[in-house]
Amino acid sequence: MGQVSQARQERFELLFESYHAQIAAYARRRVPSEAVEDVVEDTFLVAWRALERVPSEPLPWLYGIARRMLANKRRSGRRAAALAQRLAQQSERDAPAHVATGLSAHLEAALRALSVREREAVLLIAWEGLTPSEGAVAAGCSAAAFRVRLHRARGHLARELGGPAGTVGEARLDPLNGAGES
Amino acid sequence: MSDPLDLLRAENPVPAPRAFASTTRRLMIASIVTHDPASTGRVAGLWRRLSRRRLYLIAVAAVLAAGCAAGAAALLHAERSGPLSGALPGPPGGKYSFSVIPSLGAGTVGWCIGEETQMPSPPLRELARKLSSDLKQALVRYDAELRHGRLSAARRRQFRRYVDTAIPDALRSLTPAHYRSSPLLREFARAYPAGEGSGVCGEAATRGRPIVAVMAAGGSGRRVGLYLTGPDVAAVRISSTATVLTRADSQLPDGYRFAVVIEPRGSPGPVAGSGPWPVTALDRSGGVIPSRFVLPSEGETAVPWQRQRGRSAVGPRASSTVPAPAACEIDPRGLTSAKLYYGSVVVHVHGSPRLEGEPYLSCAYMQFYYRGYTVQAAVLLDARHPGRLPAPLPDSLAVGSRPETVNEPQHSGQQPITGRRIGDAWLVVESTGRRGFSPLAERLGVLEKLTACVRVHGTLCP
Repeated sequence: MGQVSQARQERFELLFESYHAQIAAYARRRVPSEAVEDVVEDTFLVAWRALERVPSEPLPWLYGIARRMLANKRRSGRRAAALAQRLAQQSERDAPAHVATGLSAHLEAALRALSVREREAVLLIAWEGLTPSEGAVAAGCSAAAFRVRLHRARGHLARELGGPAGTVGEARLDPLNGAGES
Repeated sequence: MSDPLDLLRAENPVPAPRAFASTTRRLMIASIVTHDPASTGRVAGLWRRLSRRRLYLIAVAAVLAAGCAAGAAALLHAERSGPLSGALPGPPGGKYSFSVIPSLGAGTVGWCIGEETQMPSPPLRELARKLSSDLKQALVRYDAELRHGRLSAARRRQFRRYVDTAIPDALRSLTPAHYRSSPLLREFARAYPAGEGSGVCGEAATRGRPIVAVMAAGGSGRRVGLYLTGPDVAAVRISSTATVLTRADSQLPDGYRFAVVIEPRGSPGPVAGSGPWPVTALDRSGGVIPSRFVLPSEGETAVPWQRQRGRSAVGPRASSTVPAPAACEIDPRGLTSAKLYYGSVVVHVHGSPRLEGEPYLSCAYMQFYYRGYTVQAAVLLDARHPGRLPAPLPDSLAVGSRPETVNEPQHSGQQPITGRRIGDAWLVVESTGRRGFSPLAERLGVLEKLTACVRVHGTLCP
């Protein structure tokens, strides 16, 4: 292996060691444990091929790749199921794979009521701990679009959980800055 | 009430990122960097999907090319391992299940394997007839010989053995439905408790000890064996013609693998009380991994204490009635009605970096009675580097709304474990009562009120 490829490999190993645990956690929250390693490997294979384009803050970018990997897996899973069982095409809203098991029933039901994009927006903030700007990178949209999506998702989630729009119970939510940029 | 995002945060199913074991990481990186960065074609995609299996294929190809026929044969004839839970060989209806949990005894580093076997149940009427006729015959003969004064001591022992084994053997075939349907069977079950599961504790993997623990489940002629191995064991050879590949599972500790082996035809039987068959550990190229007797030196010396002298029959004998000042301590004072039995503590923690995988060291252990349950509590550290964050409990799930608390669900005959992160350690509890394992809420209640002190660098807990 030459000097350049050796350096490239070392750079990749550093990227992998630094972020694979976060990507694995992202996958564990969304797919059965037996699929986690595949998602991580697929995500980092894309990163290996695009190593020269890795941004200075790689984690949201990696989340974005992992998100697309999961979407591909869900689509191929649905195609297989459709072929096998000749089921009618399911809407994305009904796809169960995006919601982790182990949640309380009311929260899981509320999450299922969100659209895929809304759900991903709130989960990126709540579970991955991203700021809205970072969430926008992971979601593959502009920061402004992500903030609007997040605002709608929170209102929707609050309504599903039994509170008025934007709140659960008595607390009032700041629609744009509630998740903070810290 | 709160922000809906706070509700989501509180129920984060994976509250902390968890690194893969070092072997998994190495394999994954090796698998990725072999790809041409410029290649994105369909063929490359198909090749990549072989991912981890491909490494085995490469190993086999390399071995063949080198002319090492013996090593290649080992992998070429390898069979897939059975799962941790599955059907027993033989007539349908039999099931087995293995589980692995950390060893909790203070000073120990290792894993405990539990097994549970369920044999197919014959119709109750047939079973009852067999039970009664066997017993009647034994008792009549016993009685007759006794009346004629011909009952030698050896004969007496023989009958005693017969009665003691015949009944539990029969009871082992019963299901809960049988017990519910017959008061007589319930009486028998009380008099002759026939265990349907058992457990054995082993060490952690290290150089020279690739196979960590072995366990057999099932009955004569229809047994399966579990081999718990370290991360470098790719297969176990059980005979000159049979080799079984190891596999990973989320139930296992990080870095560990297992092989479940169906009893070979004409097997000579177990070589040890709880073990299946002698095997050889093989690496990814089919080479033999040397196995030798390794003293379990990776544990630490523990100092026992014993609160109630009356419990000496079940606990270790100890001169002290309170824990000595030590690196770790469990404080049960929050559990006002707890009745302490005994425990042990590790005074100084050193760590064993040569261990493989990510095992725990138990540095404090305590057993006590609380609200109808016998509770075992332990503080678990990273055995290789105490003071570092230990690995997550295998197969555990976050308990909703309780950050840092996880529950490892019950697997086969072993108790479910619930743990709370305290600094760079796990405080874990398991508890059992007359009616079986305690509910999760009970264990959470205990965890909430227990406190623990962990000081691995010099100073001791008060």
